[in-house]
Amino acid sequence: MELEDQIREVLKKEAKHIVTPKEVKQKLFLQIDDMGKEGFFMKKRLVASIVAAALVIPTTVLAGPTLVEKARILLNLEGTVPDRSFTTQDEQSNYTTTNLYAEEVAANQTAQTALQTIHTMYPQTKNFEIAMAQERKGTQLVKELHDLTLIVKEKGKDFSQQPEEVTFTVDAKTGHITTLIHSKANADGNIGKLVDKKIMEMADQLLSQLKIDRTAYVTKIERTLLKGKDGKDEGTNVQVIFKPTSNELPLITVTFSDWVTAVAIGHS
Amino acid sequence: MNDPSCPTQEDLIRLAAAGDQSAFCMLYDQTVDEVAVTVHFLLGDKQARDDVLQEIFLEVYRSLPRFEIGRPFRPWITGIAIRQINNHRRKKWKWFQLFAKQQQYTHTNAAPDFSGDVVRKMDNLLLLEKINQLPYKYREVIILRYLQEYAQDEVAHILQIPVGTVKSRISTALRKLRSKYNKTLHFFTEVEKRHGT
Repeated sequence: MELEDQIREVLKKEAKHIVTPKEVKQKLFLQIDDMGKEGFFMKKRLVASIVAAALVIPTTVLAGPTLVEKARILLNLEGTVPDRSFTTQDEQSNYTTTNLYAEEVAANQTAQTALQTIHTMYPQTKNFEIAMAQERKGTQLVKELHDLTLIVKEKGKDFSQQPEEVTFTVDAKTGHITTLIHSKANADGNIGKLVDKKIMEMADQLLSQLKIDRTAYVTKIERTLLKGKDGKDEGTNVQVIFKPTSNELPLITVTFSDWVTAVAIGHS
Repeated sequence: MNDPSCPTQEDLIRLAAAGDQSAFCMLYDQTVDEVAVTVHFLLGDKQARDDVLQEIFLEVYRSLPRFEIGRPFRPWITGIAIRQINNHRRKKWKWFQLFAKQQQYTHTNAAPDFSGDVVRKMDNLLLLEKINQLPYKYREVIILRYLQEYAQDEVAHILQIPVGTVKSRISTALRKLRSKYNKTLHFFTEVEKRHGT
């Protein structure tokens, strides 16, 4: 055997015996968490980024509805879980997700306020049906977690039929909105062509509808060209990042694509 | 084919870069084994290995927002690993010197266990030992080229040295290994003959 092949073989054989202790991971995440407590900037972006980042990326994903599907998975909102409630427990999380019944949604003040906001922002949703209502309660990343997510969609269409839909998540304790995702039934095809001024106006309008004061923020616009699996252009995602000038305020991202509009607010 | 509904590595990078720890946790799981192996072969210091591994991933977490999506992730993370290993080596240089000297002393004065060495030779561990004894800069290119299977230009990029230097280091490393390996093999062949094994 050639020396080079022998070197490969011997190194790879030895590598198989190397085990990384679990403690390394535990210590690492404790340290990352400590950085967060010290006001590490990335922590600020935590919640805000979940949806927005999911929507910015997908260079390999083709259609808008797939993006929504992906966002749903990232938010742990599969909606297909048949159980009434289920627990998510890992190194970072320990919380229970409960699927709410219609009468519970009707009696839940947070859910009703959220629905009103959705109806005001998107009047057509008054005729939509509630596709899912979930409450999550417990801890996530050593912080208390208690939020409520509603998905409303066009009546009579299931998710596979690419309905127009709105996903809305609010902190059940404070009433703060954390995410809003509006996925359109038909692609816009224009987002990439809009100038920064127009994008900023649209973002401002959304935040104003959500009653969010954006005066103490500096803004930045990032454009990402989406590529399909075959390298074909799949439109552009435009993200407006509202960076707070004070540590007390959350980071906000507003993302526009041909299929989806998303607002994510990173309350710390 | 990948499930389009599952986050890709790029998705995870974006999310982790934005501070999502769950995404970073998945990235860690995907990459830790390869990084741990690099640390294992290059650091030598078993006690510090876990600490350095932790430092590497902490640095990865800090640096993710600066990672350019679309560039290969694997060489990027290996580059961070190499820099952290080198930082550790620099910090601990004096300590290493003393430790290495003591190890060498102990090693040369220990009674050779021929039977053990012969068995190890059978398992190719002899060659492994020779790789471990290579000067660091040669060991570095050998690990990246033959264990991690990086192309020479990728090794150059990771180590931030010219490709020509990579080629010359690999060539020198192979020559050293060939020479050391052959000498040791010859020695053990003689021992085997004398012991009638």
